[in-house]
Amino acid sequence: MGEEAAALWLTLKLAFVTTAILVLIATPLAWWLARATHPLRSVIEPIVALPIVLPPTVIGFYFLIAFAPQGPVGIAWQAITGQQLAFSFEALVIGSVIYSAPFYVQPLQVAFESLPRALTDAAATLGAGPIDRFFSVVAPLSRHGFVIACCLAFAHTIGEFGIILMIGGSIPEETRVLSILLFEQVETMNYERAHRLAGGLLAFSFLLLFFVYRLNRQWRARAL
Amino acid sequence: MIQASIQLQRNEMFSLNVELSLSNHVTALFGHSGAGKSSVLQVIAGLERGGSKDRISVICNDTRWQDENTYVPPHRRSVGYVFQTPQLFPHLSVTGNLRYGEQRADHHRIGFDQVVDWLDLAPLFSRPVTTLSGGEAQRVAMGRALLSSPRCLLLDEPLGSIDEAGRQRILPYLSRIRSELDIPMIYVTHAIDEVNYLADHVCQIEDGRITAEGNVFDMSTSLDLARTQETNPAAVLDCVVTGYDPHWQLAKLSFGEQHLHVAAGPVSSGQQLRIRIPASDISLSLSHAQDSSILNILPAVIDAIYEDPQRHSVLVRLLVGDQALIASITRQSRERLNLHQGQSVFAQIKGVALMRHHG
Repeated sequence: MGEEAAALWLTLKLAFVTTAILVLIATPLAWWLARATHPLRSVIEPIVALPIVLPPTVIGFYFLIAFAPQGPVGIAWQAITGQQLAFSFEALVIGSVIYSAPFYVQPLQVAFESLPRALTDAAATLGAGPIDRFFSVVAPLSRHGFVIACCLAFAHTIGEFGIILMIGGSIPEETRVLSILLFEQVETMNYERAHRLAGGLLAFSFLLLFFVYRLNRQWRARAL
Repeated sequence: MIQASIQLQRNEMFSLNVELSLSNHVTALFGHSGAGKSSVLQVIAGLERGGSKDRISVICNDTRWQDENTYVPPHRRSVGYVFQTPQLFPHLSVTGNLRYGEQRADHHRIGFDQVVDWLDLAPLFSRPVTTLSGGEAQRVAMGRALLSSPRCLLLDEPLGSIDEAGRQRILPYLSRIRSELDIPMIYVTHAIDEVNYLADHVCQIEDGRITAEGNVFDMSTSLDLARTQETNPAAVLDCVVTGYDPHWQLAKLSFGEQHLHVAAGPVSSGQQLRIRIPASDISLSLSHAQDSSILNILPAVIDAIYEDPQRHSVLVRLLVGDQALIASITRQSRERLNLHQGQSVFAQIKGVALMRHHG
């Protein structure tokens, strides 16, 4: 496999795995943030949003310390899996999940918040418990929110660079994703390959955002 | 049977302090918006749980739904709740909405075909939910609530967002539900005509408190209430049809020992009717007029007289046997006839409105 193909495959794998994990763990979080009145909400909400404003190197730095063989997460990981966490694909996944979480949580939370409370109240009086209500009413009516949230999380993971550089390095077929490969091509003055990679990423990101915005518009038009 | 005792402090501006005991009849919670009527329903349904300082107790039959140590969540209370706007699930069909509660009910006391028949839902099956009119959607919402086989039916201004024509069309459906079901129904409204049409028992709520309570007949003829309402007062009576004259198209309606003759289409004897006699359609005379076009002249005793400055007139509460009526006359007439409490007079009844048939 060529370097580019390997990097492309690794990038897509990282984005898919990250998005899948976010669907599983960040969906309940978004629902909780949309409906909770708990005082902890005012602390959790900014924590989830932190990756939007923090330089990726700040997050990457703390991850590096935590994931190192002597770091708290690194030690636990070593004990459970017998493998080193730092500079592994798994480390990238953990980092990406946290780094992309706000891009998944926020659109979904907005979709959840736009659902009238009375709709879930009606479902409750008709005998549906909380989990039943989520799957029978909330999820189907928020499907556009799910699509947009997944697209943004996917795209954002593909565009990740700083954290990966800090905690993943550039190990072929393990941590060398497209953005890292591009960086290396630029450093070695290989502009022809750099153009190919940069152009490809640009086109992909544009198409995805084009799709997301169009969907968002259609969705809003239907809501009116 | 539902017993609720609610002490709830929403904020500094609003608190609710209500004791209710509801049997298997229609109780109307009547009052201005913001009086706390809807909050009562939300507490009974468990949608409003109250805070740690609030004291709420709700008992349905022998099941304790809520007290200091108990809180049964709404989905385990089996209440039928009809919201002011229908709240149909837009991603489901009409049938899907109707089946939603039915599928989740632990037992089925009310059948699908029955509900479809009562509410005339069959013509709506093929329509997307989002294209239904307000009245149609509300009928589906009522059907959906009934199909969950609830132990009580809570209706929160169900006609509040429907235009006048739609309201008149949907009222008979509510009446049908009322006569078919033997569960407590609470009907929240600020429309007195809906109260008069449907209710057996009326609670007037003001500022989170029940300020007057009684059966609909007493409440409709209460002078205290009449003066606080903006609409013209009218007495509500339940009558039985005891005859019909097809030549003159007159129905003979009986209440107690008395009869009224009312122009009407064919009705059959034994049928129960609820009628409404506006105070402005009753005049008083001291003798029984023989040469009047008015058919219904009943002997009555003046029970109370109240000056009504708001309408520049005098309201007179009359007793015809056990039944109370209310008449609105001018202050001049009162003076001229020298009317006083305990006096025997004749009530000349010009207008009688037939409201509904009982099932």
